[in-house]
Amino acid sequence: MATFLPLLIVLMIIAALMRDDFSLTLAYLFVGVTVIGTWWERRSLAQVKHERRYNEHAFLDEQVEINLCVHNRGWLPVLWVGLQDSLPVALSASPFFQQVLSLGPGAKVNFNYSVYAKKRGYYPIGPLFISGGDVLGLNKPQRLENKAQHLTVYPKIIPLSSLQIPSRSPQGTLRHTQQIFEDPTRVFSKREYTPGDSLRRVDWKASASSGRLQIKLFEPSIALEALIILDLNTDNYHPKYYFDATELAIVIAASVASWICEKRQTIGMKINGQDPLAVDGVPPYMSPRKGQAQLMRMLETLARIQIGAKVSLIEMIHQQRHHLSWGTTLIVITGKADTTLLDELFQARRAGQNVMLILAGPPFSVEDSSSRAAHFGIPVVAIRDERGLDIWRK
Amino acid sequence: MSEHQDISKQSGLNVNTYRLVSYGLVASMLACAALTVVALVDRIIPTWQPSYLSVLCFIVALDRLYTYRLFRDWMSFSREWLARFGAQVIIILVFTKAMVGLSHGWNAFLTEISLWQQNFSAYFFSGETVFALSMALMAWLLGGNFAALLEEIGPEQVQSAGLDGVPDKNIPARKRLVSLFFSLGTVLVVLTAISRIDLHSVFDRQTFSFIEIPALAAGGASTLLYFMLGLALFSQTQFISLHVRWTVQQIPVNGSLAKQWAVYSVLFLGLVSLLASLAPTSYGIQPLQALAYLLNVILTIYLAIGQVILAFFLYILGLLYSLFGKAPPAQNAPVTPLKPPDLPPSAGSSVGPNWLEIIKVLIFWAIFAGILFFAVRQYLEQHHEILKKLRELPGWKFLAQVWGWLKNLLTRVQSGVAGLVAAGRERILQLTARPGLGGGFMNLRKLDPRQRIYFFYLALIRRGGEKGIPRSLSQTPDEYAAALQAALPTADEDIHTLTQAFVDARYSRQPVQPEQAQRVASAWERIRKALRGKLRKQYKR
Repeated sequence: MATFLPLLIVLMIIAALMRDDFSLTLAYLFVGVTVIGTWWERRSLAQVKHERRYNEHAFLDEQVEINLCVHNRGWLPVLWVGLQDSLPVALSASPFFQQVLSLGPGAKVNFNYSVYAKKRGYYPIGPLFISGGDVLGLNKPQRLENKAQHLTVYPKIIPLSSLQIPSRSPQGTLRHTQQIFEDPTRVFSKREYTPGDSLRRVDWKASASSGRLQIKLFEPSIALEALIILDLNTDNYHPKYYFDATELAIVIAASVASWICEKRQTIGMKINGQDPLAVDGVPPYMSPRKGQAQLMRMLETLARIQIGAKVSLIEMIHQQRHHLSWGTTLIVITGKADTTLLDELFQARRAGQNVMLILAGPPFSVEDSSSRAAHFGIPVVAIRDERGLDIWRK
Repeated sequence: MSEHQDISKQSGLNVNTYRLVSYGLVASMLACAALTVVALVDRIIPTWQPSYLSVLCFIVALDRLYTYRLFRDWMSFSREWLARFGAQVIIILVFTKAMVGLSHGWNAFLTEISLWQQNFSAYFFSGETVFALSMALMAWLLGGNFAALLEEIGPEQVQSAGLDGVPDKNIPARKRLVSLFFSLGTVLVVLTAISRIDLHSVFDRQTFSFIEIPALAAGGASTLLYFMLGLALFSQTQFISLHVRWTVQQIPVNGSLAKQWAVYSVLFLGLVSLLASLAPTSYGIQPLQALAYLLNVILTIYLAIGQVILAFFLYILGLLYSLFGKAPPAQNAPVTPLKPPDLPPSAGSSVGPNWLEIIKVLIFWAIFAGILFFAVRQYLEQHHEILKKLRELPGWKFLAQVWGWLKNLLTRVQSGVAGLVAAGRERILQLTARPGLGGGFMNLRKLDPRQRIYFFYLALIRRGGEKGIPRSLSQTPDEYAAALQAALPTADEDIHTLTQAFVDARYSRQPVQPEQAQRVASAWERIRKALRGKLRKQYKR
C-alpha cells in the first residue's frame, strides 16, 4: 500500500478537485489489489497445515523414511508455498529438504525423503519453514516456523555371548563358572545316589523307573542385579582420543545392558554426562529393573547423552552404592583407574557389592591399572576398541 | 546449446515465453497510453482522429523491446550500432509517415507523395507527422527503459548470480519498474481527468442539464487497461524474480507453478477489477465535494498567508524606496481580495431521506476510512522511525489505551458471538442427530424392526400419559396393557398385540421380522385413533 500511496493521494485530489469518478475507480482498483492480495496471502498461509510422519527411533545404519504431508485445509488456493525442512547434517547429505509448489483448495501433497542413521544421537528433524507471498510482490514474503520433532538413533549394540560378571548371590538365574551356588529350579542332569547326598535331592520318578536311587543335579547360578555406572568425564579419558573413547564406552554400556536384559536380569544405569532433555542437564538415574522397557529407556538415554560431567565419578559411585542392595554388581565403565577410584570400588566391594571395572579406549595412564586393581581384588577389563569386545563374543 | 537454452534448463523457465509475455504487456501498455493521449487530442481537435498512434506506438515499442538486447551487446556509436540504429530510425520514420498518410485515405496519401518533390521537408514533416514522430520517440524511449528493467529482472540473472546467490539488483530493478509504471500512470490519470473535465463542460441546451458521462469515456478505458496490464506485468516479474531466486538456491520448483500462477493472477486481477467497477463512486450528498471544499479552504489559507507575507515584504520595500525618494513599485497595484471557496451544494431539504443514498454514502465513507487507515498503517509499518517518534508524543498513551479498550471490546464481542453460534449449532446437531428413540425428528426407515417396535411402544406410553393413562415405574408391560385395555376397550386386541411384540423384542434374543414391525405399526395407528377418540369424549364432557 505504501507503494501506491503517492498515486492514491494524486487520485483522491484529482477526484476531489475535478469531481471525476474515474479516479475513484482507479483508487478502488489499487486498494483492492493491495487489501485483497494481502488478505489472500495471510489467510492462505494460515490454512496450510503439515504433518510429518516417521519412525522417531532408529538403530544404527537404518534408513529412516520421512513422509511430509502438506495440506491446504481452506477454500482459498495458495499461490505459492515454499517448504524448507531442516535435516540433521550428521544424518543427511543435504541439510534441507526444500520445495516450492502451488496448492489448490483442499489440495494435499506428500513428500518423501530419508535420513540415514549413521551416528547415535538425538537429532532435530525440522523446524519446517513455510513461506509464501502475494501475487504482485507488494509485501515481503511471510515465513512461518513450525516446531521441530526429534529422531533418536540408538547407540551401537554389539551382541555378546557371555559376560563373566562376578556374583555372590546364593541363588540366581544364570549359569556361573563358580560352582558353589546351585539353583534348585534348574535341573540339568541326574546321577546315582551316593551316601551323604541329601534325600531332598532324590528324583523319585527316575529312581522308580530305573530301580536305583537317582539324585538331581542343579545348575550353578548368579543373581545379576547390576548397575552400570558410565563415566563421560573427558578428564578421565585420553586427551587425544577422548571422543572415540567415550563413544566406545557408550557402546560397551549399551552392549552390556542389552546382554543382561536378554538374560532377563535386573539392570540399572547411572551416567555422568549431559542429557539435553533433562531439566538441569543431569541424566536421570535408572534404578535396577527388568524387562525390555528398561533396556529401551537405557538405550534412549545413551542415544542422547553427551560428554561433559557435572558430578565426579567417585562422588557418583559413593552416592549410588549406598542405595544398592547387597550383592549388586557394579559395572563401572571409565577411561582410567586411579587409586582413588580403586579405593572407592574396594569400599563398595567390602560393603557387599560385586565390582567390575571396564576401561574404554586407549590406555590413559602409564600405570598398570590391572595389577593395581588385582591388588584390590577388582576384576578389570581393558577394551581398546570395538574389537576388544570379542572376548565376550566367543 | 544456446545461451538461453542453458538458462532454461537450469532455471526450468521458458525464457522465450517470459520475453513474449512481458514484451507484449509493455507494448500494450504503451499503446494504451497512446490511446489516452489520442482521447485528449480528440477533445482538443475533434476533426483529427489519430487512432493509428496507438498501433504505431505498439509496434515501435515492440521493436525497441526486441532489439534492446542487440543494441546492448554493441558498443555505442560503433559501426554496427550506427548501422542498426540508423536503419531503425529510417524504418520508424517511413512507417510513421505511411501511417499518418494512410489515415487520410490512399488517394490523399498518393497526392501528398507527389507534393514531396515540391517541398520535401514541409510536406514530409507536417505537423501531424511531427506529432506522430514525437509519440513514436516517446514509445521508443519508454520501451527502452522497460526493456532494460525487464532484462535486469529476467532469467539471465541465473548466469550472473553465481554461487553467492541472486544479487540484490533484482530488488531495485522491480522498484524502478514500479516507479516508472506509476509515473507514467499518473501522467495518464491527469490527462484523462483533463479530458473528462472537458466532457463535463458539455451542456445540453435542449434539456438544460449536464450530460452524464460514461465511466470509461474520454481515455478512461485505455488508462484503466494500462493499469491492469501493468499489474499483470508486476505479477509476472514477481514470479520471475522468485523463480530466479529459487533456481540459484537450488530449490526444486513444481512444474505446474508457472501455469497456476498465471491462472490465479488473471482470476485475481479480474475479480479486483470487477469489485472496483462495482464500488460506489457517485452519491447524493457528494462527500468528495466536501473534500474538494476542504482542499480549497487549505489552498485559500495558504494563499492568504502568502498574501500577508507578500504585503509585509512590499511594505518593507516601499519604506526602502521612500528613503531614496522614489515611489514604491507596487503602490498602485490592484489587490485582489481572496474569496473564501463556495460551500458544496447540500442535499435537498424538502425531500425526505433517501435511505439507499445514505447507505451508499456510508459505504463510501467506510471504504474511504478503511483505505486511509490501511494506507497509514502500512506506511508506518515500513517506516518504524516515524512510529517511534509518534509514540513519544504526549497523547499517544491515551490513544493507545483507547485503542486497546476497543480491541478488547471487539475481541469479547467476537468470542461472544462465536460462542452463541457454536451453542446454537450444537443444539441443532443434537436435535437432528439424536440417535435411538429419544424423541424429536427421526426417520423410522433408518430403524431396524426391533427399534421400531420400541418406538411404537414408547409412543404408546407417551400418548397414554397425555390422555390421562400414565404408566407408573413399577408397572410391567402387561399391567400397563391391562390398564389401557380398561380405558380403551375398542383397542383391546391392538394393545395386546403391541405389548406382546414389545416384550418379545425387548426380552428375547429372537430376531424380529419386518412383518412383525409392520403389524405393530398398524396396531399403533388404530390405538392412536382410539386415544384421539377418547380425548374428544373427554372434551365433550
